[in-house]
Amino acid sequence: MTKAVAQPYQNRRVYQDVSAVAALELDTQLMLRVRDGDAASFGLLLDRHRNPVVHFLYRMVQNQAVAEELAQEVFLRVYRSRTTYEPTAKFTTWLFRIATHLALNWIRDGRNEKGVESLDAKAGDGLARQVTDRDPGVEHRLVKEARIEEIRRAIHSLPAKQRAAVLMHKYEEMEYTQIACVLRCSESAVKSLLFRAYQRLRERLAHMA
Amino acid sequence: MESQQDDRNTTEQFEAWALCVRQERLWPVLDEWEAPTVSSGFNRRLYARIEHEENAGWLPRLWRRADGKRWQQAFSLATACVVIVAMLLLHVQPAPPAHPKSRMDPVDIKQVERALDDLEMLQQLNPAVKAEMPVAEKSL
Repeated sequence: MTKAVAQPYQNRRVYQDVSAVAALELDTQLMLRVRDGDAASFGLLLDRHRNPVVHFLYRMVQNQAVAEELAQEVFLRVYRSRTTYEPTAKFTTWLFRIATHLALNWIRDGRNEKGVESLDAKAGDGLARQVTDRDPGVEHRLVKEARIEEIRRAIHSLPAKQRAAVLMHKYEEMEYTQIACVLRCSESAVKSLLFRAYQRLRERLAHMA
Repeated sequence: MESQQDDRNTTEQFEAWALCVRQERLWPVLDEWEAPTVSSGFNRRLYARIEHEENAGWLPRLWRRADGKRWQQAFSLATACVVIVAMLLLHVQPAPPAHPKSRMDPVDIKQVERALDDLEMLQQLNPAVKAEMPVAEKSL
């Protein structure tokens, strides 16, 4: 059943796999240097992984400020654990495990409800938000914003674990095994999570496809 | 029989293909949602936090290393245990002390024996004493 979930950009992934081995070694080497007290290597790791971590967290919590705050906590934890670091797993797996843990905790604590802002949200006086712009491209921009809002809502409607699996699979292009390591479940459980999540997304976004 | 199996395989393949097509259509839709760029002060804020932590005293560092939340949980658990034990100690009544008379040490037995002998002697003497007493005193 879950075998049918399409693997996107398969050709691209083959090339990525080759460079992934080198990247794995580089990340591990950098982290081992950080362990030995090389602060510059931490800067390199930060530059390599800052954007993916922040983007993943942003799509998880759907709030830019919170995503950056959580990402800071992720890198702080990496820095704190530098002395005890052992290269037992892929660096990115470890990094995303911390990020997912923090995001799931944040969602579980129910702090996400007040953070997400919708375009349809009523203003203080009870009226719908009015966007005034005399730019000729404003209509196009509004349509695009409405589409993005719909995608955002569709992803937000997924259960937290399914959401994390989809974001890692679709946007971070991680393998099933790596997602399984991050979520601490079996590979078949990941496939099942993805199958159900994509099914739901297809249903919700069918009119946009 | 074989044709039925072939039909089933074909149906399964068709369903898988249809699912892939629908999935391929979903992909570009999801691509439309781009994450915003990371704010320029991200690294600066992070390094400031690291520096702040480095300069913090040994106690906060130890607390963080030992995972503050776990310590808090352990502390809460220990406090709860202490409260339960204290309540049990306050509510359970101590057993009443044994009655002093039940203790029959040898000295007491001798005293009792002596007292009984004295009483017996008094009882023997009592009729004689009564006989010698005057009538007025007897009525008292």
